[in-house]
Amino acid sequence: MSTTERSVDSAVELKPITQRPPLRQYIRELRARSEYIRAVPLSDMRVQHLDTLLGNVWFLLNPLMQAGVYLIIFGPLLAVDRGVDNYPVYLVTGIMVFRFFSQTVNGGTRNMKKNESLMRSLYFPRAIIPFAASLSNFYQFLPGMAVVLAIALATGESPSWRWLLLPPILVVAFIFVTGCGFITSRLGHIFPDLDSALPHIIRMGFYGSGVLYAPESFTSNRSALLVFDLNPVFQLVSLVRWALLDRPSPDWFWLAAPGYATVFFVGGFLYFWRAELRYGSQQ
Amino acid sequence: MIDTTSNDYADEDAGDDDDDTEDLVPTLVARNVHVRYNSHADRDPSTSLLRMRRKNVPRGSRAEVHAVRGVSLTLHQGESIGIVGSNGSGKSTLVTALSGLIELSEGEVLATSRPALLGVGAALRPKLSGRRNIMLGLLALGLSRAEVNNRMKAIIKFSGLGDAIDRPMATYSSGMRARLAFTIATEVAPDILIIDEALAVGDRDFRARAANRLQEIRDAAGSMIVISHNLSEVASMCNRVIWLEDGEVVQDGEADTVLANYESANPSPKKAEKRMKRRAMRRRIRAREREKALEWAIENVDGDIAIPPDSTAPSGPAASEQAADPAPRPSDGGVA
Repeated sequence: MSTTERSVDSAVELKPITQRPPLRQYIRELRARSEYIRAVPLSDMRVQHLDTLLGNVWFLLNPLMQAGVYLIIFGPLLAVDRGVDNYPVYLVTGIMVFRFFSQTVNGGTRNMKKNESLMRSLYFPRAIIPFAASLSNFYQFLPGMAVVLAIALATGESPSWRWLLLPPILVVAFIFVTGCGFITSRLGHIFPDLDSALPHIIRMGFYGSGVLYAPESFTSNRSALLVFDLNPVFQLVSLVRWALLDRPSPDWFWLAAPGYATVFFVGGFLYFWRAELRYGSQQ
Repeated sequence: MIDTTSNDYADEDAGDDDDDTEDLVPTLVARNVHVRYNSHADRDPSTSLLRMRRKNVPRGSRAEVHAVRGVSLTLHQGESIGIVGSNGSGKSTLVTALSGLIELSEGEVLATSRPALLGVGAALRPKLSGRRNIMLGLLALGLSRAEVNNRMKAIIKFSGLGDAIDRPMATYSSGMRARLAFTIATEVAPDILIIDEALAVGDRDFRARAANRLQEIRDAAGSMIVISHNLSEVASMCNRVIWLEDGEVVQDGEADTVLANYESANPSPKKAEKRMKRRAMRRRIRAREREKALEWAIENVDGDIAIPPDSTAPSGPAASEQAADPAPRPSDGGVA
């Protein structure tokens, strides 16, 4: 082995490739592939409905049908709409935002498994996988928001300056959800069982995020309401409803929601990066 | 390990002197590489659970697979190393590790740049067209969209896929898929290229193109690691060969020596193949003889004594073996 040792000493340009790249270099490698990051979600979406008759119409039809189902069940049937002026918009807003969140977080547990063969044949910063998955879900969330706007106009809401604040709110939502996606991507890689367990936990979050009803119309218990207020998804949904329906939303949500987004995004990214090398390996 | 010297220049090989590696610039150095992973191991379904408990046979559970066990090697500029070994000897796992794509259990790999790995199962997107796969693959390798668009025509021409380029890759044959993967992986000339059986499925035209491009890469001082079961291919491409068995290096040295040893340890399956062919031929000849005899017997059913017309012609196993031997043997390009 003496030859090996010597050649290592004489060659300064040899770099370890089986060690985790330092954070700065990692981010540099990610930025160098910005075009790839943008191309992946679009190609994923291109093939998603390829085998169907209606094809890409499903990107619009899917949120429409989902909205329809919830409107029929929770509107006239169960009358959960107390305390809400424009219940259709209220409900569909919540469903769309929550759907974006749950799809990214639930899908995260399968992200690394799904891309195993890709990772075993090509090197790229692995963070691209959860990021692109989140971006893909975000793109699919946008037609859902278009449906919401259409319903809003159809039910007599008139456009206001508050609508202009929708894009920044949605960007904050994207950052928060992507951070969560980083976390479940690594967790799902460590515990594949999470794939079965997480949807139930997320479903609990569905009822705790005020998607279907206005919590304040059902309880006046302060601590119960605080639980809702501290929930980042509830905050995001409230902000979107504020922009669309002028529903009151606490001012501090404007600080709390971006705060949550920053913490989850940075924390989630770092958490994901720390296991960078392990993702391609068989578990 | 019989010979671990990484020096393939025989004329300089006068002892293990210090100036051996002076003009040999290492591009990849692997030290004591180990890869272990856990896998599910099923129980033998033919033993009942009850009997298993009685006999204390281990039940199906997770078992550790130690795929690569302490491999060290140095690859130099302009050098091509061949890796040979039986199925399951850890060749593919080793090169995935050398490419920095999986976590090592022990050891380390140093390289001047990340090797490009080219395998049979190169992960392309089956539902996307060849053209879009080229775009995505090259973007992932760090090219810009504009660069890819500029080169797209030449790339498609090199791939030789023609009109198929706009069909989903799922419709491609394995040879066409190999063409596409090879085109993408070598478009950005890598300093280090690792080929894992990726040329085996290509046709002659593709092999010629691939050989040309590989020569270009080598001329540009790139280095290569080639896994192949085609020993003549290894012999023609590589000056050095590593023989791997059970995740360990059996021998590392000059191509001719290692290949000869590998062959004598693993007698060419072609010999067995020949034996099988000879046996089949013998059976066919015997069947033909029987048929002839029967035909003759039917024709002469009215006669009283049945004598085969060609009773003087040689018959029996010894003769048919003679007849079978000069039979044409297709696809005999092996290393005798």
